[in-house]
Amino acid sequence: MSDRELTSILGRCLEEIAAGETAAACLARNPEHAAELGPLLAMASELGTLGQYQVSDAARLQAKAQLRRAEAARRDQRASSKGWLRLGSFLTPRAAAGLAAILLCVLLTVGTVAASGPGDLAYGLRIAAERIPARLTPGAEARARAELGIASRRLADLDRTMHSQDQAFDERTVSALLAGVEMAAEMATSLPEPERVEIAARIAEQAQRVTQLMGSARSTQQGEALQAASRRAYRAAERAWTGPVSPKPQPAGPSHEPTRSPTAAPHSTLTPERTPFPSPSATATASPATASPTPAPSATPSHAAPGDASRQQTTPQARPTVTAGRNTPQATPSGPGPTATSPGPGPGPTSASPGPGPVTTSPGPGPAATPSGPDPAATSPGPRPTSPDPGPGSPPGHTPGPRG
Amino acid sequence: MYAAISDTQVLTLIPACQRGDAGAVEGLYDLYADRIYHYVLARTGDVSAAEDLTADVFLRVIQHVHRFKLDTARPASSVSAWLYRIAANLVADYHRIRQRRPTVSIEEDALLISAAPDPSQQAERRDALDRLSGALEKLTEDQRLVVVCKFSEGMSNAQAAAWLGKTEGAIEALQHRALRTLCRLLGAK
Repeated sequence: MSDRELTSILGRCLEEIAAGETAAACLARNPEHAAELGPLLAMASELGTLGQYQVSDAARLQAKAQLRRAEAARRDQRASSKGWLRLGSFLTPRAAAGLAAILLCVLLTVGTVAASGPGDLAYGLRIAAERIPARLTPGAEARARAELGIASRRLADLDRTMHSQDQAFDERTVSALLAGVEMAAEMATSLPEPERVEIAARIAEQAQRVTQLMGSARSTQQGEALQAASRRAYRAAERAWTGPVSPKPQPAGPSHEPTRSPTAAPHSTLTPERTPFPSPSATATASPATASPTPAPSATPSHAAPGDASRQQTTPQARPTVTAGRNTPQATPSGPGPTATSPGPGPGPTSASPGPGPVTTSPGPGPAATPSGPDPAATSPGPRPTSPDPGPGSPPGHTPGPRG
Repeated sequence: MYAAISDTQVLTLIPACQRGDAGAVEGLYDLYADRIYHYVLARTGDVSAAEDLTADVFLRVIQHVHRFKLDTARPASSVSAWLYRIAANLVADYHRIRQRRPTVSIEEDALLISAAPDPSQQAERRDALDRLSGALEKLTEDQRLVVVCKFSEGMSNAQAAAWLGKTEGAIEALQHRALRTLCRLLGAK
């Protein structure tokens, strides 16, 4: 007899016994297997005695009391645990996976925004995000410095754009740069003079760098955009330099009086306007040589922005380069000229620099003249500097000639 | 023989236990305590230890029920399998500890026997339980579970198959092998 057959007979017998039949009846029905089935059925019966045992009532009560205590302790433990742990225990795996996916998306977005550059979709977000800390900075000086820091970053972006073939020119960079410097200038107007002068010099420095980048412009449009930006940055520097100025009545009619008016004077005027900062055109080609005190203005423009060729021929001028450092505003001013009567408000570091003297022809606001600095052999029709040192009242970057 | 545990009962009790409902844990205890007790008793041969270990099984349920994933296809079966697994682990710990140091001294043993209504009968039953549990320890876990389901709880082959997640044929084969092994072991003694 096979093992399987005996298994089947045993199974059937045990089912019948469970249904109420006796073991003897089962064995009688299977006499040929009785010898093997008998001990197995007896063992099954002995095992049935296990079923007679039950958990005693005392043990049952004790166990339930234990369970209640344990459940209460567990509830207390859960109640005292921290909120996020409770959240974790209630989170289903699906909710946890969703939360993790959202976190991942946020991290990826932040990473994408942080790594974005000019021309990228996320660049606008990066610009906006980077300005947030500056906007929240309390105090005018700190805010001005923070804004200058942001402007420096945009300037770096602009620099990379202009020197990289891969990156497209992005007007958002220029706008953000200008927003930074103009806000810095705005903040600076309420500061005491030393801080204001320093910030003005830093703004002027940035304006100068923008002007320098004009040389790397790949199209007329880019050049014009940079020129406009440079001009605005210089205006901001001047505003910062000037500080809170109460409006003065403008002299009537053409005058040789220097003026602080931001409005551009006619090109033909001989009024040497007192401008603490050079126009973009003046600094576009500034070389280290031009940064030194140069009494003789050059009338030999070496470079000019596109479209200004005619002007550069006729508007020689001397435009010293602003050389203001980060902490030591050292714009090399030119003297206000003989007609300059209103020395700048600041103790500019110009006491040792005689300045180039008056400029009798106004280059206007545009990049008309791009002087190459002091040139003894200059054939400039402009007057040689005859004015004395403007003195301590001269502002940094003071430049004779009308300001654009 | 006990009434079968329905899927509906389990589907009500387990989520309530997971919410921290103490009444639900007690309900689960009422439903399963005797079944677990038979299994533990069969393996330990010690009435008092079996009662303690049975309570311990449900204490562990409280600790881990929030992580338990109920099989909605066969809820009652999945819960019983989980409870027997916990019981098996506790019995294994019990045997490990017992091997290192006997838990009942001779004096205590004598005291227990003398406290029973019929000390000689009690001692006899205790001896039989000891022998049986010793032999059951030689079986495989599946064979032990079939023995407990079929002979302690009086389940049919179909019920045991559903309870343990096996086919009826597998239950028959396991019970045959288990009985044969027990006959050999206990008969030799």
